[in-house]
Amino acid sequence: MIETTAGEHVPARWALMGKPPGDAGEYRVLAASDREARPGEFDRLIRSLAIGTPDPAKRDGNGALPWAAFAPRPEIGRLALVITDRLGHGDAGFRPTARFRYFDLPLAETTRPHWSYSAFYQAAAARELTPSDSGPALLEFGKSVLMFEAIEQDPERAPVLDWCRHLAGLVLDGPVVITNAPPTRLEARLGVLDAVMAMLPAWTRAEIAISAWAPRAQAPFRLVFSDIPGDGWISVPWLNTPKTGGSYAEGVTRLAARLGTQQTADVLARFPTPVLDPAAGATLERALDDICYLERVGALAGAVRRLAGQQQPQPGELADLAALIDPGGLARWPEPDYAAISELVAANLHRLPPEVLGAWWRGSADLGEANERGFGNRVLQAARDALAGGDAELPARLWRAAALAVHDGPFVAELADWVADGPDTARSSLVTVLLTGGPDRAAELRAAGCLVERDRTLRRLVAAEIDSAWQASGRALAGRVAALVLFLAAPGAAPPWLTWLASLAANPTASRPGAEGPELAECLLALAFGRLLGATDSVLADAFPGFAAHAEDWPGARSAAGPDLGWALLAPLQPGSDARSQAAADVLRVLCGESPEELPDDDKWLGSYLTTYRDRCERAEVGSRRSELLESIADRMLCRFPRKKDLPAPVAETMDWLARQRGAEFRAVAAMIVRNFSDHPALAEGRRRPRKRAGAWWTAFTAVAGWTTLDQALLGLRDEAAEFGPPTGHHDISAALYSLADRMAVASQAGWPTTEVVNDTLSCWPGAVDPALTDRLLDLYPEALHQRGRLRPDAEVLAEQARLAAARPARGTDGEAYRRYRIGRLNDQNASYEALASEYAARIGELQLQLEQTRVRRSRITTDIRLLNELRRDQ
Amino acid sequence: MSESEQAAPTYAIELPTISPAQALPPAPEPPSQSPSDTGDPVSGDLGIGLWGAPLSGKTNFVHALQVAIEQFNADSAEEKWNLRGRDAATEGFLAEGRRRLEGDTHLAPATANPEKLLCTLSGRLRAGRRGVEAVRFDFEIRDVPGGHFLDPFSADEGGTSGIRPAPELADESIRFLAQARGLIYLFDLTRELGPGDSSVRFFDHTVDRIRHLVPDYQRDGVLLPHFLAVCVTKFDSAEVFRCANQAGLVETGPDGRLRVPDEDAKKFFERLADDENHPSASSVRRLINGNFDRERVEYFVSSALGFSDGPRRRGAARSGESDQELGIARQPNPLAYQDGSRALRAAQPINVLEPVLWLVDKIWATQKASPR
Repeated sequence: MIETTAGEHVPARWALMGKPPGDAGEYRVLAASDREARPGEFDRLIRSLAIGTPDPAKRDGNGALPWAAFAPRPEIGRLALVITDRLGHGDAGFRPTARFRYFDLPLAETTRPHWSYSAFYQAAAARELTPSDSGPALLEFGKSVLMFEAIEQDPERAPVLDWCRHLAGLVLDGPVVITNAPPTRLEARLGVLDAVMAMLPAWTRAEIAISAWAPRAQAPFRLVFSDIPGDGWISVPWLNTPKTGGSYAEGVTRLAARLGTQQTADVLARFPTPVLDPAAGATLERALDDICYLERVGALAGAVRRLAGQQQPQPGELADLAALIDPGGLARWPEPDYAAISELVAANLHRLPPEVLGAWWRGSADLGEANERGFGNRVLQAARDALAGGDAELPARLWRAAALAVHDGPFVAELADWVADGPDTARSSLVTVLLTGGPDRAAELRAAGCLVERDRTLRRLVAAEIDSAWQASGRALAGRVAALVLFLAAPGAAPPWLTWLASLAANPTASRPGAEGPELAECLLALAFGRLLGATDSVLADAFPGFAAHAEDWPGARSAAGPDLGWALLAPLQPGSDARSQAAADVLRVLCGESPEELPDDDKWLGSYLTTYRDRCERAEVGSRRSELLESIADRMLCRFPRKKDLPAPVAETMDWLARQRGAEFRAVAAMIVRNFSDHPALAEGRRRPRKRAGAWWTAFTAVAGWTTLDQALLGLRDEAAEFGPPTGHHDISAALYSLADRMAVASQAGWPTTEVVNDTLSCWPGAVDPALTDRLLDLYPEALHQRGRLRPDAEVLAEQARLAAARPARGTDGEAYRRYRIGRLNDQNASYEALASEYAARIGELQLQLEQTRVRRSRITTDIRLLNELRRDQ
Repeated sequence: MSESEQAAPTYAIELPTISPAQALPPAPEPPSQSPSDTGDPVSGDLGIGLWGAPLSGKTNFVHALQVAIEQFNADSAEEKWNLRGRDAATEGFLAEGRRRLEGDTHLAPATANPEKLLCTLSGRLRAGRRGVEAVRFDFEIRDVPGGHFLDPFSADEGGTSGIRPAPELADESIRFLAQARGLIYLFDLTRELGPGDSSVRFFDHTVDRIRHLVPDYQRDGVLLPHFLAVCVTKFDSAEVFRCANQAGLVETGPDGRLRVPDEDAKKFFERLADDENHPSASSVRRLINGNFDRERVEYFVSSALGFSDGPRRRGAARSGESDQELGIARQPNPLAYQDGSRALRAAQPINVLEPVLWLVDKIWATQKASPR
């Protein structure tokens, strides 16, 4: 029986539309609860629901007033009702006039148990409105009942229910108009609408507009009584059962056959939202999902009942059972059924697999804390009883069920406590469960995370395993212990575990549960350093990155291993026999802070190497160390191919892959490339004359570096210049200045204009404030250019250009200072040259005098010689 | 929020019972929407806008069309017309109107929402030597609340405080007028004598909006392109009849009915406009002349309901004193009884079909000359 809660007062917004007596104007809103509503809002709403022109003088037929129309307004979360009835007066033309009363309620009200359209109408119809009213109206919802059970017993009315179920299916498919209805009271037509809507999930009330009469079938209605169907409407003559109501009607009919119409309506009323994604699919699809869900829950109930009667359930049936349980939806199932099934499940804990128990447990949690706690207590008690009775298997299975059901509840740890304190066989079973992957490994890992905080429980479990291994093989970390530690060190649970392991490793003689001291520490260290797992490269390569990535969180291990941590980690590695092994090993080397090998020479090997390297980098274990791996490979590739214009395909592919990285990792790689651009002429060349075939990586990295124009191309050099700082000592000065000049020469070699080189260098170099230092730098520039392969005359020309650039007014005060300095220096040089010239001139004068004297002497001598010769001849 | 259960009303939600008599046969198929059973007629589509203040008689005008056609067909030996709806809603509207105009019934209710009516007017015309020609016009006409023609942002309609209506509803109605080829404007002289806004306010706002909405309204530089049939309505009312009669323009037609001949209708409207007692007529004339091409405007003096044939129940109806003086037997329709009530008598429309035929003729001629 559908029944509203009696005597509830619900505040409603309202509006009154009509005409005052003798009015010559139009129908209009005369008063409303909310004068601040958007202009015309109520007018628009009322006219959209009271379509056509009501005829107050009409006294018979379904078109006679009153009318009642309902429409959801999801945009403001309300359900609107417009009641059209007659006024006692006419207008200025003596025409009969109507009155339109509008009310709306929160949509949430409509999904309350036992809500009905009839009750809304009755409450609203009883509320008189006058133009002088204001504020919200309190609607008194009386007790309204739809006697489904009585109707089902009445042979004359039972077919009406069947008809309503068909209509429900049709309404989901398209708008439905009920035609040819004989004159029927409004209340009876509302009853039909209520019965139809009761066969739909409650959330459809937020989507479907209905009307007990409209002059013609048209939007927004989806279910309406009328004599005039619109285009595209499904026309259903009064009480004529349509041939098909579709899948939904069939489903709801099956449900009604099992539960009865009353309980079907009750269950559907518990769907304030669709069971699946409320935003996905059409109304029909979502309603079908709800019906399918209910049928599945029904099948579940049957399956559990059958199971309770069997000694040996079939595995297939158990799997089906688990698949049927849909957490989050059990709350919509009738309560007596849920309680009965829950009791059956609890009574059959030993028979049901952990997946079924876990799913049921999760469903119980959705029903409230009391249900969860109640079921949990049953589980704990069952575990205790099993431990006391020597059953080693059940507690472990119950632990897995708990792990699947609750993420961080108290049960996981409490249950593990019980098991850890129990017999060894139970502990061993629990370890087996931990090491055997269940259906939801992520949930089990989260549960393991809960265990980590319970040191005592944890150590008891590990110690028991170590003892067991020691006794069996003489090795503490043989067999399952390593696997157990690996499991517990898996992502998510790793850091706390490694801390604990590290504390053991760093203090080998400290508390060690259950077994002798040194072996455990040694074995743990060995495990940590990969020696234990060093049997094969593949095992190590798979398992090791997780440890290596966490090594920084592991100060104990680092201190225990000392500076040789990297070596210790890599010692088990054999020299790479193929490109894949080499790539895996290089990943480990980078993670350990060691230098990787050089890239393979052979192109085929290179492709294989890079593919494997990328694959390793994608693995979750590398965690936050990924940036280092990316930087390493980028650096090595660019070193390997510094001048090649077209990179080999695998390298270009890997560069593209680097460019697709996100966030900090991309920024790290990009920064590395930008920082080192001057070491990579290929990049510089590309920057100067962008290559058409450079690929996506080029665009990505240049974009992040802002390398879009030449005037931004000296970023790297500017960084370099800034790092040089003002030199101090004499030797430092020369070395630093020459080094900087060399950087400038490299930039010039890459093709940048001299002006850019000088401007970018001097704008960042702290030494540029000293014009003398600048001048010295520029003195060294031609030398550096010469050393870099420029011809001497060309270098001198560039040096002169550099000086001119340095002295340009565009450089501001520094340029002016340098210009003054340069002029001063040139003046000084000029003066000194003038002095030198004077000196030389003076010397030339002296020399000319000496020359003259010498000439005179020579002349005299020549004369003397000639005279002497003549004298001898004469003699 | 909750009260005692005893205080709350209790009622059962009803659900009807099935009895064989109630299970009716399926509804008949709605009428075909594309009649093609009229041979090979000349056809055309057009919109006709119906325009007038509240209470000016728009609904009655449309309702009376079928009755007027029946009268016309009965009086004419050769020309015959037929009007029918092209969808179920129009058929229902016309049928309801026809029922009401058969008489002894209540007045049409005040229109609350626009009615979109898709009609087909088909006819048989004598066409010179060619004999009889079949014609058919599909047209849409809308019966909208007169309040839609008032500026929604102006002062309160009817002088009564109310909450502002939704402007887009009225805008759609005016948009239809703007897109229509022909307009029927109902000028209600009696409105000026009662409460409420003057007819001018329903005219000037609308014509202003139409000018904005019609992109090529500047026919001859300034004029709207529409054909306009101006109907001075409620000829049967004492006020209108008195004015017409005092002007000496009332005649008895060949059908025996009182009327103002079409050729005198414009003269009648001009006299109203010149009369200082009817300032609104003067304003409307100014607006018509300023916005429409005079060649495309025609005047009619009409009455959708016509004169009634006298009281049929107790309480003598009031009748115009001047009529008695003139010795002309007439009673308005609806009849007003002494108890203040009104009753509709069988309608005898005057000049209802004529404006429509005039528009159809003009539009058709224009269409043939230069298809739009």
